[in-house]
Amino acid sequence: MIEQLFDNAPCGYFSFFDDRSIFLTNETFCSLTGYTKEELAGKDVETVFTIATRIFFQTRIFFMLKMHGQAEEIFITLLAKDKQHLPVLLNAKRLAWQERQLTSCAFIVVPNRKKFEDELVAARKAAETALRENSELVKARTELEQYAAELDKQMQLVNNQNLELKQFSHVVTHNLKEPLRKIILYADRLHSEQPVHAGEKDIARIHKAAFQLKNVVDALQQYVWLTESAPAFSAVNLSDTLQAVLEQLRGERPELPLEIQSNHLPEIEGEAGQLQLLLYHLLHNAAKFKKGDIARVKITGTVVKRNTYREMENKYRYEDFLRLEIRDEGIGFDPAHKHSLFRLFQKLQYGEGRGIGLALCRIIVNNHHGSIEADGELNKFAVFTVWLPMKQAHV
Amino acid sequence: MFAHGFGCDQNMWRFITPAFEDHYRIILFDYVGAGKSDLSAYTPERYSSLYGYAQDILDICEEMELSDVIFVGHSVSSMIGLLAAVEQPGYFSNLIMVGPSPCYINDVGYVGGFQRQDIEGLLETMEKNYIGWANFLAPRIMGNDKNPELEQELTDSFCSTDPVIAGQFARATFFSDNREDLSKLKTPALILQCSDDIIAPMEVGHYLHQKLEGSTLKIMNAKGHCPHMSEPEETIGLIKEYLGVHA
Repeated sequence: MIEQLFDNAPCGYFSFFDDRSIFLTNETFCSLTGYTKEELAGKDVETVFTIATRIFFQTRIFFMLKMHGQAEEIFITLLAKDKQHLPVLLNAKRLAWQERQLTSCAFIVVPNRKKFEDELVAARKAAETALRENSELVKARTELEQYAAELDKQMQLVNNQNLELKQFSHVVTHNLKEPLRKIILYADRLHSEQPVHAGEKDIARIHKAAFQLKNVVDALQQYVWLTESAPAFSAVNLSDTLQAVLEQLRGERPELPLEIQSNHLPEIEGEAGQLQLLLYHLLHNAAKFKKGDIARVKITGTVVKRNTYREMENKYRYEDFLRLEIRDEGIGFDPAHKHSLFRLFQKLQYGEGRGIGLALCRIIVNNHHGSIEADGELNKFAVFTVWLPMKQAHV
Repeated sequence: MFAHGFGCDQNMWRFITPAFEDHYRIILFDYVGAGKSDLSAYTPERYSSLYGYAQDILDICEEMELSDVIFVGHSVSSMIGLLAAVEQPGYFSNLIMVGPSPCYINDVGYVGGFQRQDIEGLLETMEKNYIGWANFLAPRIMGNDKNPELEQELTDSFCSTDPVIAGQFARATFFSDNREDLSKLKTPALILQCSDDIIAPMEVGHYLHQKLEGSTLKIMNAKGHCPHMSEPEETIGLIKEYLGVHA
């Protein structure tokens, strides 16, 4: 008697265990889906789910049941035996049944609700589309995008130039003034001092200071040239560039034991001369600060997506960048210096070099709207990571 | 670091994390737009592709100055983690992918498991289920407008998401194709492949294992797409076994 009421209840009923096998169904459910009770018993419950329902079940209903123990007013589509779609509104509840977890479900078929909802969703979409497709809006938005991109580039430029200016004033006050002060000092002494033989030493000192001064001015010239020249971009094959740099290095210092391991580097849009200079300085550094007899350098190029906006917050446009990693197992450096490394005339090591290579690298990378980072550990390794856009924006 | 997948938030890891608390520092988070994250930080521009979500992970790594991260990602988070590890390998030591798929839609010579119309059907089902939301019927273009009533509702109910954000996450997830990115990963990865998972079928697990250099593939007894919730013990066991050998 009660069973009859259950079987003919004005709602469909089905239940299944955690392994998804169907436990119990009622007549209403069977007549709606076209299956018999026997056909369904023990079957995977997904038999009566459409694919969309199966995904939705896995990504949403499952969590609700697992966390809350129940899910209510869920709109899904069931799949009848004849492949007809059955829109239903479903409540589900988990309960313990003979020491197993059972999910018990009841639903009503809602073809009309589906019709209303379709209309509602269609109306909302139409409204959204109308707004979105408003041509003036679209045009204004595109223009805004362009201005934003341009503005971001300008902001990068201003920030970079600010940094350069600061460094320049530092260079003028220290690197230029100091040798100049020495020259004046010794020249004055030469002028006034007796006896004459002390002058030999002073002349040598003046020579040294003047030579330093010339070095600084030469470096500055290169620096200014890179900062001010407008780069002419073209397609550059970095694998070829790398070969050219290696030949250049071996030509200059044939004794230099340099062992390079590199994957194939792609073609990117850039200024050929500058990119060669960039690789030259990075590899030159690796060779100079080697540990032991051989400088082992590993170069890895990977194309990754990166936000092109660097200065503006909350602006995003993901585009292809080449991520170039140049790693050497040389004498490394204290990571505390990883930012100051790129400053002009910044030297962590005494001895050869002018402390300009990495400053030039930074300018070259800035010229290409990319970025450069350094990391390392003293006596272990140094790694320079350069990000360069695969294509240059032509604003 | 445990990263939740589409459709839920960090709560989904509650059966797994206790097993690792003693030996690891646990980092749990909600992607922007999910769980109790700050919805005002959501911008459709950023989160229209998985790259924006990968940026969330990199931002966390940078802010917390992390290294040697063992990244555990469920479902789409496996690919989000992969994108993050390709961009900044320095943060990560291992990736553990629970039910990953690099591409959900079938292609010539590739079985993803779905046709395009299946995904459209899912989006429709999602929309229908969000009809009760207060703001759902109002046309919206930006995801940024604050709605206190909605936020109240969000904090009160588990695994709820703003319908517009959920829809966009679903599109970013199910229309993604990261097959080209697989060869770029240098971080060792564990693939946990469930048996009988409609979202990431067996073929996909084998495909990933073949394309991800140095990866380990484990086929689980767990059925469905959420082994960390349905079979936490098996999931924990496999992760521990892998880390015992590889970490």
